[in-house]
Amino acid sequence: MSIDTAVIRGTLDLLILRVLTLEPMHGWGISERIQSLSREALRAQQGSLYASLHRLTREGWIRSYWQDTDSGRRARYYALTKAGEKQVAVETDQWLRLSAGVGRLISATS
Amino acid sequence: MRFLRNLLFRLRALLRPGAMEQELNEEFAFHVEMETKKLIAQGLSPAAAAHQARLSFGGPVAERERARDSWGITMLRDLMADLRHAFRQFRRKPAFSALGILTLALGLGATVGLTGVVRSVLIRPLPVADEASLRIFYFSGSWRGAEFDYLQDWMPSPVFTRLAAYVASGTALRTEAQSTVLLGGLASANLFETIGASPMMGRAFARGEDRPGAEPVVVLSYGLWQQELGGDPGIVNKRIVLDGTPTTVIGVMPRGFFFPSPEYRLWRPLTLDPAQGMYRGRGWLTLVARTRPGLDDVAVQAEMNRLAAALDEEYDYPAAWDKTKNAYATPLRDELIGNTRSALLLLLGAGVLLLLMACANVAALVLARTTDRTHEMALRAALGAGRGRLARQIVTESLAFSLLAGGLGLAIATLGFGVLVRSLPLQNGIGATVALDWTAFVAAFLLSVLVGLGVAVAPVRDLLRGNLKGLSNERGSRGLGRSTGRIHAALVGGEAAVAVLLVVGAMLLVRSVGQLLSINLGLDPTNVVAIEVTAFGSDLSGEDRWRIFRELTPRAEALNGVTSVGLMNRFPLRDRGNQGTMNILSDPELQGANAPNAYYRPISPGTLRTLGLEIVKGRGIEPTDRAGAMEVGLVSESFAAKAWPGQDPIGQQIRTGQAGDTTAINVVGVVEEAKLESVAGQNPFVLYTPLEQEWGPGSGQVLMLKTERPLEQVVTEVRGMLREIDPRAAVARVTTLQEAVNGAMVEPLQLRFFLSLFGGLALLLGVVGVYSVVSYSVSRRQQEFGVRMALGATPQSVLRHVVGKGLVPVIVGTVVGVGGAVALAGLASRFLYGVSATDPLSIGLAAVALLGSGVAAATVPAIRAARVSPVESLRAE
Repeated sequence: MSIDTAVIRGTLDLLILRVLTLEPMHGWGISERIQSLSREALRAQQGSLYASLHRLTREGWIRSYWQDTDSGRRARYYALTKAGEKQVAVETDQWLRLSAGVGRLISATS
Repeated sequence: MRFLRNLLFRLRALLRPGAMEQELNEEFAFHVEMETKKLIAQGLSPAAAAHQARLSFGGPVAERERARDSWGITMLRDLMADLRHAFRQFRRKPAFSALGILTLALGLGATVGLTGVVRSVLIRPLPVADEASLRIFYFSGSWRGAEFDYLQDWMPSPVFTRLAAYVASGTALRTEAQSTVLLGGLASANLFETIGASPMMGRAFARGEDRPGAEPVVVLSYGLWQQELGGDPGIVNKRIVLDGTPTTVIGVMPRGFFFPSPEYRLWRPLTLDPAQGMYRGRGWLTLVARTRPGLDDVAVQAEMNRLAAALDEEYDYPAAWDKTKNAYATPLRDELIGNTRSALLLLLGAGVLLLLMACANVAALVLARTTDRTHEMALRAALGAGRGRLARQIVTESLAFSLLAGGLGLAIATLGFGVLVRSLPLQNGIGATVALDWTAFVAAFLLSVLVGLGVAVAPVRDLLRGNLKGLSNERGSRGLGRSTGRIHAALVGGEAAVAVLLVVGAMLLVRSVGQLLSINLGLDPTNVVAIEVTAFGSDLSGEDRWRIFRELTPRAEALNGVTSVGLMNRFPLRDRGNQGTMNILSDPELQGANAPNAYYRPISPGTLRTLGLEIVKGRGIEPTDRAGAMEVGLVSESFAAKAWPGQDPIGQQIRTGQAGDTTAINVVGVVEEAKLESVAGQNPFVLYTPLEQEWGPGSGQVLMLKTERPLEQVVTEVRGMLREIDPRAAVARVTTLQEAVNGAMVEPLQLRFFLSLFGGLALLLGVVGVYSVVSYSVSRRQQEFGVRMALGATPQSVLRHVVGKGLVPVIVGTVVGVGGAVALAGLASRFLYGVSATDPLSIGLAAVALLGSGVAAATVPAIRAARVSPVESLRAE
């Protein structure tokens, strides 16, 4: 079964959703985690990050709320919703199959 | 759940963009702050860290825009912007916009309200089964019991399955407290099966219940059961007293049922008794037949001709009532609503015309504004706005306009509906069944959308044709685009045509009413109170009835402030009927089949004085004209002229054509002409006879009193007298004769009111239309006028030029409108009295009114054009 290429465009969504499986986090924290967890290999464009966050909120996969950080600064936190948890599984599965397929193709043609 | 959250998110973005914006800013600020802190921790100076943090974030405006786009409300946001823009436009020209919206609202309101009435009266099914196959026989109210039974022998026929008979009948419902007079129907036993209606409780008539010897039974209407009888759930099989007879209630009809009109509140079986004189005497029944399904008018007509031929074999008819000729069967609804259909459609047509005019005005307004904004549109197109986006803005604006007007119109229709229904010429109590329902809301909405889209057509077409050259030569083409000019001219011309049509209609009605008011009634209706007194009841003997009316007259004469009192068997000015053939004994040519038809009016000695009718010759009715004395009568002037041309009518003899009537009536006087049956009708021939020489006073008489006292007081006192004389007698209809006169003019007065309103509005709209189009073109051509005047044109010539140019479409429209008025004359003629539908005076006045106001409307802006200073306008160039 082929994988929808839209998944590639949705990579940032997947990254955000995976990061949020760990714990609710604000926008800056999410971008830091993406960077550190991918060992600096990935970097989210700040602008796309917030556009993604708002779109995911609209889709209902994550929700946002205002809360004070450890340092007492007010920040908007994002957290996975029930629907979002299912979506993580779907998108993760699609991504793994895509990357496995791409990997097999590359090794078969090299 | 997800869908709901999505919707809430979008709603919030739409409704509280400020809050969303602020949160976004705060979120971005937090991000930059955190990034700065991180960079400082990595060893950068605070200033450098802050700078780099902002850099890494990208352009804040663009980022914000991207984030905002993710809210998914772009379309809606544009819409809101367009709406705000539209309302700013309204505010810029408040008077014009308000007038546009108001006239549109009035047009919409009138159309929606009238559509509601039309739906209720003309379209909503009658409460019978398959009304299309129910037909009323010609000469309704003229069939004898014998004829009904004779025709019944032909049923079922290849065309008709059933035939039923009914007649209106006043009935006194007697309770312990009082007698109430109700209108009811007497019907053949098969009426309910014929019309296909059944009671909600109990049963309908059974076979044979319309024959002599049957137990008296009654079927009640829902309203009668609920109101007069308190909604007693066990009413079926109980007895109520009708006309003095205990009558068993056998059924109650469902709510909303009526037949033949909502005024009928109960139905009892007829008594078809060949032994009774009435069975073969004067006709009084109406016949209703059910056709087999799928038959067309041709088949029905053929059957009617066959039945007429059958009647010809059995009966001889006088020429005035020849049932063997012109037989036809009309649909039930026509019988119920009579003239109402044409009046309603006429008014609805006028309302639609008004709406069209209001549309044309708004269209001209929007078009002018759009053309004004060519430059703005071109600029926006150059800045990247798509044509579709611009077109959408125009449509949004005109839709906002029309929906606003639609809402207002609906409010007008809803609030004014009661007034509208009351002021429409609805007959037979149909008004009570008329209601505005949800379809009115749908109609208002759809009409508004249609209007909005229609109004946007011209400007959008201009836009899409790509006439956006404003930028390249922004100084150049300030003149009116040729296509826009043509559309303007067409709109003004159309308005003028419609306005002429409506104003002609209004003028014709005004003239009609004037003619009606100047009618010589003959009788004098001032200060006459007319009270119908009924003495229904099988327990009332002929002697009882005589006693009631004989005692009533002197008591009424003794009332305070009453100068004279009279009795008559019918309401003057209102009631037809009780007419018959009169054999003129001196002239064999005027006897038998050729005998003239005259109204038969038994009266008391005071009647002629009370009605203000002069005795032209001979004497009046005297108290000595009693039973046993010489039978006498008085004739109306025209009757005398017809019966005895050039001879003295006094001493002549008449014998009525009624079967078994053998004594001759001696003419002792001539009475002046009077409108006895209706204000607008012909003066009928009348024979006045002494009531005391009748075989009995009948079950009802109209008591007329000449008095300056108010109707209510007199009625109360008469009720009191009746309680003392005989509580079984009751008061039925009451009126003043002046009211009866006014009543006859209700329909023309109401039509005049509406058509004058619509015509006035149309004239106003026409003036506004001409004014706005001319002043718009003047404002666009300022420089041209400047140049003309610099080249030697005088202010007068500019004035003439502008007015002349502005008037061309008005003149064309007026001519078209006059043509239309002449073409539609046939529709209007049945509502007119004493004036032709192509009355040159009315049409001329309407045309003059329109042209005059056109000149006035064009002159004001033309003066502005003539005042243009050549120097200034050239400098501006």
